[in-house]
Amino acid sequence: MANPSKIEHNKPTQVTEPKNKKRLTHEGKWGLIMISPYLIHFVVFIAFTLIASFYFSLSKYDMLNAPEFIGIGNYTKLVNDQVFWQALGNTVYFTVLFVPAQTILALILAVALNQQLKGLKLFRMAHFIPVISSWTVVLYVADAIFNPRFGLANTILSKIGMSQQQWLNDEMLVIPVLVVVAVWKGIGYMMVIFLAGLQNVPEDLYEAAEIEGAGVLKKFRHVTIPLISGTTFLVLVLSTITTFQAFEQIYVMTGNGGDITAAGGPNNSSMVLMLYLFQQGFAFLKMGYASAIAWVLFIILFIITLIQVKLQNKWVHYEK
Amino acid sequence: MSKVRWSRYVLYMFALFALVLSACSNQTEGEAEQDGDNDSTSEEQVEITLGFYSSGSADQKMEELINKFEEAHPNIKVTTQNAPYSQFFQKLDTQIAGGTAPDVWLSDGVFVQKYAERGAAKDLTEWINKDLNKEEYFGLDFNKDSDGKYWAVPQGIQIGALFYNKDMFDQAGVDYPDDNWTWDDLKEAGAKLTLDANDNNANASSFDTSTVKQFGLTFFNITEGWMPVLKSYGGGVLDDELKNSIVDSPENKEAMNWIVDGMERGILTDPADLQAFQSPMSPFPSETAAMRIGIYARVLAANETGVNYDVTVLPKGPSGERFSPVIANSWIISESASDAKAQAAWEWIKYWVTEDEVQKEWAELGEAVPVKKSVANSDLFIGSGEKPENKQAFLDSFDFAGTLDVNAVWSEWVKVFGDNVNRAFLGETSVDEALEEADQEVQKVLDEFYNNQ
Amino acid sequence: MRNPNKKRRIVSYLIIIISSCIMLTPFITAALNSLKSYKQYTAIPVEWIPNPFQWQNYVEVWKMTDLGTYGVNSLIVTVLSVAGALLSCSMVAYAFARLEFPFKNSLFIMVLGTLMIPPVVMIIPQFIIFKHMGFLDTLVPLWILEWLAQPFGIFLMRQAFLSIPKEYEEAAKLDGCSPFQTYWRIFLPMCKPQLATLTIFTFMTKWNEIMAPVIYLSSEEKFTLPIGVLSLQGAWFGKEQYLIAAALMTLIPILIVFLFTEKFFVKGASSSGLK
Repeated sequence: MANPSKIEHNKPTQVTEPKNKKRLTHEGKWGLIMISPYLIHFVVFIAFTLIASFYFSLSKYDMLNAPEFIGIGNYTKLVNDQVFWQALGNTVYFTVLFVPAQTILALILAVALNQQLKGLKLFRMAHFIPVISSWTVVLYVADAIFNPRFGLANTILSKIGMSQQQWLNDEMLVIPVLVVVAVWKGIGYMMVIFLAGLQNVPEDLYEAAEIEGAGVLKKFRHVTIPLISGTTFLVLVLSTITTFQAFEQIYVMTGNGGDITAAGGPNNSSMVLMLYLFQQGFAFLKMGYASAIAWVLFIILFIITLIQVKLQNKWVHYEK
Repeated sequence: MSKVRWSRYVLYMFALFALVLSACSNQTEGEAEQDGDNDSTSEEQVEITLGFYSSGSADQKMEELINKFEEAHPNIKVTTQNAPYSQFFQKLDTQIAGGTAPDVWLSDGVFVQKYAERGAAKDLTEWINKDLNKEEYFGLDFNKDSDGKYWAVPQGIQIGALFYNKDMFDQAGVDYPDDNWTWDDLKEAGAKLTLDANDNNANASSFDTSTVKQFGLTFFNITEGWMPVLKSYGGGVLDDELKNSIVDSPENKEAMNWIVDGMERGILTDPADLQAFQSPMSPFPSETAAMRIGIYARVLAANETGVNYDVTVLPKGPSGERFSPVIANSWIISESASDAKAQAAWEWIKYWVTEDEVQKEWAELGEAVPVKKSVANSDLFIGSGEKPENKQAFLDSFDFAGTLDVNAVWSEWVKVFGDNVNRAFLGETSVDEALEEADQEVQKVLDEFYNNQ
Repeated sequence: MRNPNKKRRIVSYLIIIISSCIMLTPFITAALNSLKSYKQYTAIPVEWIPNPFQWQNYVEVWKMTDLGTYGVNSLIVTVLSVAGALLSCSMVAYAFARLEFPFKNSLFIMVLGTLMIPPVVMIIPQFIIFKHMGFLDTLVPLWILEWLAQPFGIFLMRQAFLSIPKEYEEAAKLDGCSPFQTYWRIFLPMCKPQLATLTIFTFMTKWNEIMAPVIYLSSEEKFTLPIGVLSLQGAWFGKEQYLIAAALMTLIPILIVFLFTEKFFVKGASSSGLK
């Protein structure tokens, strides 16, 4: 049996090998049956969506009237749209700050929490509360810290004699502040995924390492890291995709009281692709243009993910 | 498990896809009108759907009024659909796209033209001419386009006035504003009402603009910010046709200079100041601003916190011109509604505006100026005993009221204009530059829609 | 059982306590805000402690919206979604992780691709599909897709199945188990931590979902909780603190779910002969 634990993208021809092609094996049949829910999902919901949105992207479509085919006009407009490029840059910037920060901090927390300490349940719970809070709550919560007039951050800055900041109203600081809040909110969930991954690390491996005299750091480096590299890969891929599609946070936190057209400021410095797409589509009724943005976003994400999947062969360790 | 059984299972699965798929494709065409287009006599049963956005406890009143309407019109059955304000229009647009629009819906006043100019709203001109005496109602003309067609009928009116905190005026020893005030008078009084952390007012030499704890005037966005100032200075954003930008004008420059100067001196809240509040609406009700430009609905929050305040008409510009912004939230009938349904929907609209009882009950909620003039002028509205005392100011403002240059791309030009002037407000660019750039960008938005069709 | 060394424990405690404080402080602020009067809530400078504590804010919120009915609807949607996600994602994921079948790699790329479609562009096409299926104004569109294996869950579960040693599979094969039986009896019980993660994820997203309920549901008696909460937003009410109170109230069920699934994260609970 082929090693089932890797998708071998460098060998996509694998499935068309003669022995598979001639007759569906017993296992092959079972495989198809077991993935049938997803097949239905794809055929009924996704395929139509893709076709429709691709057609929209080639049309002038305001939702209120039927789409009108215009060819690649939306895509050429996009090339010259400065705000689009700014939004793309902001999205990349946000992702590059957010993903590594969240992954590393979540891993540290998970390792710390994966021990028999007193009051563990409470600690896990504490990290989980921001995860389940709605962004509305987070907005008010973040305000307590980053409010320019009376927030905790500025209070501390002025106590230690540094100049006060405008935080979300500062073109340079707005994205870093949003990232800090996003890490605060999301870390508990990533931690939970890591914790689940850590459960699969057999105790005896640690014991063996201890017998060989390995210290804490060594054990972490040589036992924990390789064994949860699969989980880390998962976390990286998922959080890259979701961060690229981040929308609600920025809408709520920069939208000046829920106004979609005001979000993304100041001066478009926190405008990200999803927000731009949403604004163009639903607030300005340019669904054709929005669909074109969506396709570009989709292709970018696809390429990034393929690169990540390709690179995983280099560092992800699966069971031997 | 035998192989046969499982291959059959796979077959079933595929049969199921096929079934679902065919179900999808079968009905794609012309399903919307399944209820029939045939003429209906008034006796025939009609079912209509009515969409409205939630506004807290007002929902219940809306349902009650609809029930009464159904009692009065036994042949009409109304099904309601509501959604929170911020999602309502996304839902509505999706419904229109999917061919399931409600037959009649409540639209924010600033979105009426968005639906009208894109052909989603029914032309109500004939019906209005036939059934409504225009003299009896406020705001019908706010939904009239440049061709004289009416696209909607107001449900309730929001009109701007100047709110002022009496206690703060008393404390500073400043006379209350009156209807002779100009914007310069407002600024002069505002300077005395603006206090920093050490209680210096904005005229004091030691005044510190970075620690303002009480603003003279809170100033936010378009309706309760720049639009009334620009217009009363004789400027504005769009021409009468609403298809061209007139942003780069000397009048606008003068008005903008007045605003920017006020913000620099700390008298007016700038966009960064507003960030410090839980909502850009809260400086006045929380008593951190002595005055606000406010639409009628703002009385609710002010009454909620018990501010000792009153209202008067907005100040006039240098040449004596006045402007009060108005938003007429309105009923729109769907263009795709069948004749029978549109007729039934019109009955509802007529019921809403003409029935005294409906108008009175809605007025009691206190969230909008009643559409029917006789009700607005009655004691129920102006003499209700609730603050503000001078509700007459809202009614007087109709003499110089105007819409917010509402057209099909309103949200979009407001955004580009706002982005540019905000930069001037924050001192990042000069007024001249901001207006010049806003002018180009607004024109681009207009051209894309109007000259590209 | 290892003898945990003392230094490590102290460091771990420190990290956890500090980060717990960071996590909780803002949350407590929000809770305090929900107990203020509007005047105190909007006051500048901030008054941190409500004075007096307005417990009636919660009562008012309860009275203003029909949170009971909405809660039941939310619960139906959420429970059906969780059940669907656990079954369908794990089954599909097992096939991707452990079985060989035609077009496996291309199909898996498709799964990944699905994850990347911006949700905004799916709104209109899916609305049209559900309209033709006759599911408008029912709860069905809110949970049915979870029964058809969402990519996130597939990805999560696949990674879990990948990390289980091959020997289990071979042993099951020798016992004459079909692939489905191997998955159901042997592999699934070994992935409890990931199933718990998926439960919480699905519960959380469905419980807080706003867009789909707003678009698909029209009759008030079918509304879900987030719609109820947002309806309080009524632009002109000067009662923003109610929104926080309402949002906090809706958190309680998720906290209960978390407590309930918590035990699956605790070391040892998932052991299935792995030692």
